[in-house]
Amino acid sequence: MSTRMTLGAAGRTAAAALIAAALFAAGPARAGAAGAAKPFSLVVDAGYVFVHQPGFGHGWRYGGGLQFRTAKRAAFEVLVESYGVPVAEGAGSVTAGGLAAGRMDMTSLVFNQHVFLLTRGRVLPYATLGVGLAFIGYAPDDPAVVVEKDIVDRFALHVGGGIDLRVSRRLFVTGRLRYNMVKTWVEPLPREGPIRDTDPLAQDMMHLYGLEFGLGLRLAF
Amino acid sequence: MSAVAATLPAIAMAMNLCLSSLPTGEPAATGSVSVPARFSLAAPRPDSGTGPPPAADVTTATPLPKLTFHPRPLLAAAEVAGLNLGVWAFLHYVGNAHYSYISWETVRDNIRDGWEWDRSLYFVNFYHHPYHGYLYYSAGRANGLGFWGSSLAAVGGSLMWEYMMEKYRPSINDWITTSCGGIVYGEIGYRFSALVRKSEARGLGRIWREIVGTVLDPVGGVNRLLNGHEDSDPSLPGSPDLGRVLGGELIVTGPVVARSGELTGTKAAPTLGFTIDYGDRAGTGWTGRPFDVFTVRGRLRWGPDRPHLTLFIDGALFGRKSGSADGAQRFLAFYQHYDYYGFETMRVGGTSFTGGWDARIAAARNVSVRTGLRLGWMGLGASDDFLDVDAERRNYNLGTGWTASASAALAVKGLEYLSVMWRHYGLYNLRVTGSRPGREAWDILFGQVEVPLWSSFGLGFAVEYCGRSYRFHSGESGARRLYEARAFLAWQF
Repeated sequence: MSTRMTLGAAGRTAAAALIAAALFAAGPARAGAAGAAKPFSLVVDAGYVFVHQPGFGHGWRYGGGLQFRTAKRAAFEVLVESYGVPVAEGAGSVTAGGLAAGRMDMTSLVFNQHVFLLTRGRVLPYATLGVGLAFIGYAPDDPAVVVEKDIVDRFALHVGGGIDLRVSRRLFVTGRLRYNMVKTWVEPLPREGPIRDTDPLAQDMMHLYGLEFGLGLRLAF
Repeated sequence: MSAVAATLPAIAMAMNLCLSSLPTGEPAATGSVSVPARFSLAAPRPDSGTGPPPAADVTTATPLPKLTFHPRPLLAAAEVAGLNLGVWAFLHYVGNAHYSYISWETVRDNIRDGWEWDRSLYFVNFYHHPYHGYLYYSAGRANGLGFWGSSLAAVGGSLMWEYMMEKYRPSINDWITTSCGGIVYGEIGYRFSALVRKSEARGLGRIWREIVGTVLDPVGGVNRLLNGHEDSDPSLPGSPDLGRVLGGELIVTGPVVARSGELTGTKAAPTLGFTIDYGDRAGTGWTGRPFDVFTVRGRLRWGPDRPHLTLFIDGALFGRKSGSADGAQRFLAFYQHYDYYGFETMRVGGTSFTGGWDARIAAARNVSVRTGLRLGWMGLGASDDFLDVDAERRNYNLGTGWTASASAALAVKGLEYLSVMWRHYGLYNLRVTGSRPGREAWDILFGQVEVPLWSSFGLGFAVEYCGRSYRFHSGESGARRLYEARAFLAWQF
């Protein structure tokens, strides 16, 4: 018990030191300096997502990644994000009878290009255009249900924007709004051949367009 | 057709624009044979009698501005990737193309399964794909890369598309055609855009120059729009080639007469054609950079059934020029070609590399003879198939083989009165899906006589012959021939 308390104190101390370093080591924020002083940033954010396909609900999302400032107004970001939403009975396909009630989890590897509309000051709005590899999982609520269908993984466009609020030279609070435009379908399992042999235009296409909100931190270094 | 419609007017416009963008002060010819007037805007017209000698070796007479490149390879790579993603997004969300449904699984499967031969339409594979490669190449040039660096951008961009941006397996013929055709189109577009753009232009002049320059060099145009403050950066397409000799011909013809007993009988159709010489085929103007010398011959004929396009492009990659005491000028070079020949129902084209020799000899006072010879390898070619066409076949054979050409022209006081050209393709058709294995021999003969009417306008008469003999492994053999004659109005510049 004593040992655990000691480690906990050390952890808290380390965390506090890190935060302090992030916030104050670089000195107070300089509102007039360009926002691109540091080329690399770590980004973490969390929020909520609404999926616009009938039968699919809304849920929490979170993500994290690395951002690289490529130009005064531009930054490239590699982000891993994940969210899960409930799936209603019969959702996803008309001809195949739909999915059983359950849950869809989507994890995406996203490559975003940000274009900053402002580069000076404390408030730095930006527009985002990106693409993501979406890995989509589905699991029925009832563990007794035999999984006979799945949702096909897709490559999708991400469109949106956000605002970075400068706290210090290194630390930003970032708010984001993004549209994740996944077009996919429900496939029967097991798959009989490569996915390229399936004609997508012959499927009941789902538009799993997710409106994603996020609030997080960006630490520049 | 949209790409054709976009490209041909742009080239035609470029010819026009160059008239006003090139300097009018002509360098003096020094000890070499006069370059015919059609190779120089400053040269005397056929009716002008005496006048200043036409442009000759611009490299000695007019020092070219030193090019200082500031290559940005990472930005070029990002723009190439962005082009692919932009095209994919358009196809996926606007066009809903079935092949645009991709995922990490399709990428993984494509890497695992490797290359295949694509059977898209002839026009798609041999015209659209080079245009796509043109954009990749343009991204390289727009970011300060030279010819070889931009070529790498074309190769890499096409590779990315083949493996990642379509659900189908990567296509080896698409990759070759997109890369090689894109390099040729891209360098030509870049060179012409450099002639059109003028950083000192202002007002309406600036606007139309930038618009036409953007058509010719799309990515460079967008970059200039976004980075206008970098206008003076010599790494961007500007006017580094103002000293180049540019000449050519634009012809318009009314109904032509085409006859073939085996094919379509007598037909009539209007034709628009052009020839553009950038640099001098005999080597004047060659500074050692790829495509310092190139020639584009194009023809668009409306009908009788549908538009027919022909493009012959060859540019020197490496070369050595020489002159002799008698004033002859010679140029030995290694060329990259992209051909797209369409003549009624007979079509052949592809990518080839040749060794070539060109010469210009002074036959008499004010009379010069130009000759040219090429011999080399057609890396990947295609010819339309006309036997047993069904829904699965995509109407053309893929092949490799050899190519040769010869040309000669007689110029008097700068005007080409007579020109003849022969071109040969010896194809060994590949045993791949949709292609009919066997051998084919194509011969294209072209002759033209032209007389001046007024100023640089003339009246001409041309005959053209296309013959194709074939022997397929399936047993079919035979020959097809087509003849055409046309009278035309020409403008030489």
